[in-house]
Amino acid sequence: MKKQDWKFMQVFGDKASSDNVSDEDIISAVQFERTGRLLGLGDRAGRLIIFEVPLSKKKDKAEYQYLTELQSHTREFDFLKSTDIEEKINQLQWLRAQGKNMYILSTNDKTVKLWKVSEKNVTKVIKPSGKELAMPKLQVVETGLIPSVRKVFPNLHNYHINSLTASSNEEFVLTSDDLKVYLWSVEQPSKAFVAVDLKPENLDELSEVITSSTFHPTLDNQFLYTTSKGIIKLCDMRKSGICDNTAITMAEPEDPAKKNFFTEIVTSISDACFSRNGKYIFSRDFLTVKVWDIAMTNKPVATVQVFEPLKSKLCDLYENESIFDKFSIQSTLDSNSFVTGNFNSTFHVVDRLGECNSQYELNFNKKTVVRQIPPKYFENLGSSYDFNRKVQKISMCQTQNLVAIACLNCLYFYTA
Amino acid sequence: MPKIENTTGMPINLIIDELKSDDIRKRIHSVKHLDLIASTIGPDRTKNELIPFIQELLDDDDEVLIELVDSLSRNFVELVGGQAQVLLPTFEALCRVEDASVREKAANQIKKCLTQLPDQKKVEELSIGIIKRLNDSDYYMAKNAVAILIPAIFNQVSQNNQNDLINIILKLSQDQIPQVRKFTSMYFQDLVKHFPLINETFIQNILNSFIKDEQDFIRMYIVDALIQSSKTPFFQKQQNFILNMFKQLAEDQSWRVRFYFCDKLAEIGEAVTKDGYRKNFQNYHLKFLQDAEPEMKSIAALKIERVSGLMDPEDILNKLIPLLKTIQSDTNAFVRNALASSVLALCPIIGKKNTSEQILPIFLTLLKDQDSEVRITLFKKLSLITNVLGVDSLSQSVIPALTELAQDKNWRIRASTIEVLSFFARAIGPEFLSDKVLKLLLDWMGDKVSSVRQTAIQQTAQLISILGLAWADKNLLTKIWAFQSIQNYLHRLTVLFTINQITSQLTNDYILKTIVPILQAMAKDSVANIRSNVCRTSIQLAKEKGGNIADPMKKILQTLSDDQDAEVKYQAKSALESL
Repeated sequence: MKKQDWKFMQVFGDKASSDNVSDEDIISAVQFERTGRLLGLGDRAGRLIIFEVPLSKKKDKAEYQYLTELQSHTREFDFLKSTDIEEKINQLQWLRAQGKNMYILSTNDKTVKLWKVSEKNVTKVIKPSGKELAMPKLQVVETGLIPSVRKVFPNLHNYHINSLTASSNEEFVLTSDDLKVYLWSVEQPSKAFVAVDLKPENLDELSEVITSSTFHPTLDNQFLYTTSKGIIKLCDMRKSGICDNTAITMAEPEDPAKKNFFTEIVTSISDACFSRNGKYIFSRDFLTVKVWDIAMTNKPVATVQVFEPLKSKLCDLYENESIFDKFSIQSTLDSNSFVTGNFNSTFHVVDRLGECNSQYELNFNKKTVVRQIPPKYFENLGSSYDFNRKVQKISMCQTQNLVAIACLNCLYFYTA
Repeated sequence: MPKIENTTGMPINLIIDELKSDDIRKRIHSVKHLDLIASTIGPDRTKNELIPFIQELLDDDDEVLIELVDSLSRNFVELVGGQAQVLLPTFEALCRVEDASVREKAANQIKKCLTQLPDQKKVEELSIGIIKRLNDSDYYMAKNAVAILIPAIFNQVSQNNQNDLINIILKLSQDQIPQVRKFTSMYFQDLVKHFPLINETFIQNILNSFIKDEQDFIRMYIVDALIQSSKTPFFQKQQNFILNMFKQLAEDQSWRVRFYFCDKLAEIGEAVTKDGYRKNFQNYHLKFLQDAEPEMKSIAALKIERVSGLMDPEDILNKLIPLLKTIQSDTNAFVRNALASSVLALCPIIGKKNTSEQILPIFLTLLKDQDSEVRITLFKKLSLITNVLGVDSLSQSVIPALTELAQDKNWRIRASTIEVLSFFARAIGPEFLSDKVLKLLLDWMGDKVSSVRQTAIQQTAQLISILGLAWADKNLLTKIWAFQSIQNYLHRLTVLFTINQITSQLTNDYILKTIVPILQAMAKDSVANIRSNVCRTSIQLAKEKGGNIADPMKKILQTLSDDQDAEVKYQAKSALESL
């Protein structure tokens, strides 16, 4: 397999702002639009920021520019449970553009919204209809990209929404929380269909929750969901209505010898994705990435230690709660590698056989800093190893080898 | 056309201004009253000023657009002086919006406007123009309207234009965006009606490309197209083609496609005639009843009512009924509910002896179902089995079940059960409403949940309209009037609410003889709420009945206008004034 070399392309953000970052500016969602021309960014303050590649630029010199932003969600109070509903954007999904109109779905913990951004003239009435019952005279007060909410999906989830994906035909949207996976129709969000229900008869017996879900990249009837026990379930909507009974299970049996205090926490899958060609599934838990071949469901074809030195730091990570951090994972275009984030402003690109693990360090010097991580690697992680610089959200472009990587409040682009 | 009256309480110019209000509710209100605006300014000004102004409203929220298209669909052709073509540009613009219901309504309104234009050449010119513009639009959703309009005007245009339209449909059916292919599939059923203007090969090619489509929702709608084409001479020529395609859909790997097929079984049966159904599709229905997917069992059970008319009674007995025995104990309540709603339809077909041997056991099992909804669904179809087996033989089993539902913990179940009574009254007649059943009704009138009492009162009114006042008085009303002496005032109120509800069915004689004494007595009730409601009841009776009722009512109200309670006093006085 040809090794891919990723190179730095562009960064939004600088060292000064990154050192003094305020919590609300931290990026919580990143997503490329299907043609790659647009990129959406969501942050903890509920803002949705859109970048674009201006059409006039030549393809190979394409650089992203800030286009517009909107306030997608605001902080709300749940009166029934007496808790705050955070405005943090959890996930974004682009839908097909129509003409010059952009459509993007965004969700926080509870509510999914469909936003439309279009070139509009905002008008104001300058002369009202009088006794003669004339039509009001209008004047254009603002021109440009105006956002508007087209649809708000009713609040069905009892727990926090952890994933939002649209099927490739864009008829359906999949959302999941701790116990349920819902299937929504984009056209009629007033109804949702329960595709998976993990709720036990007795809530006290709860031992497993859903951690993420995603649609297959091309087959609109297949999706997967992952659980806190490290299990992946592949569901086919064609076979049955409630998909859990007919799902294919992919799980590695627990090795009682290796079990320790942290095992349960680190086996929880934080994110999983299909490879672009749909043949493999890459699943990310705290320490490893498992590569599954869909044709072989009894064991993964490879288990890759993302960064082994972390194993020795599990106690510290538990103390500072970084052990609960979730990292996302994306497949490269050729389906032969995956990209996932790590601490200390680093991210890894590994081939699917697990033979070549490259660690890239994000920096503001416009340089590509990369080193190979050999198997069974050890390093003493000193005090300079910054667990706060987490690279949790990444998005792979669907049309070219281009990845967008978010670290705190900064956005980086790498190409291969 | 007559002028529309302004009942909004607002001046017209304010309504016009609020079309551009910042408050969405005001915009919706103004849009609802577009016909009022149009009627006030007259057809010329509507045509020249209002319709162009509506262009400014098109960039609004879906809620407003839904009201807009509904508003324009009401008699607007008259409001523009009969010139339907004036409205076409607005509807054309509405065909491009994101909301599917607005697009469909707008397209249908274009169809309607075109039918009202006298000049056929103009119709052709306008419709082809609209179709081509929508088809070339950047907005792929505009092609929805194209798929709707082409079948509507196909047979009214020239051969050349027909060829163009065929090519458009061909391209849409192969569009890379699945939604566009979906629009084409959904409305292909309207296009096939034009056979033989649409030729055989074309129909077959399009259907063949759809059946291979990987999207479930595109294959699904082939069912409708096949049903429609079966009603045209195409069926005689290509019977095997149609039947084979039906079978492919019945065996589709996606349960949603099989579901849609099953849902349309009755229509399919009608299209291919009884023999065709029995030979080709009956087995699929029986297979669906055993499908692993509960949704499939549900829809198959639901369809028993309609497909039973297509089946041979022998087959029903030997093939269908054995399967029902498994379904009656299915773990899924929706499946059992579906069975309850349609199994009794078999009774008239298989006759008394078979009903007694085969259906009655199923009926009795469902009657004891743990899910109350299933039991209620069964009750609604009770007349189908009582007509065959007779009421008496069933009342032994039905009445206890009814009693149990009437005392269910969940008040909504109790309320639903009450509604079942009028079914019985209508279908079976007063014999069913024995003492036991009437006791249930009286218990409901005294239920602790007010909604249940309300429903019971409404049912009483229904029963009177079905069975007559004399019957009601003898069996029911006297007992209700006895509620006057109950200690809890809420139940005394029931007396007054009942009178309110049944006013229109009472004769003046009955009122003078029975109601007036009741009201006179209750006007002296110790609870002010009661006396207040006496005012309301009195004024209602006086206004509705008039004649010799007005005087006794006035007397009661005069007594109450000296009441010690301020509210009662005020009500009585204003009631007297309005008389």
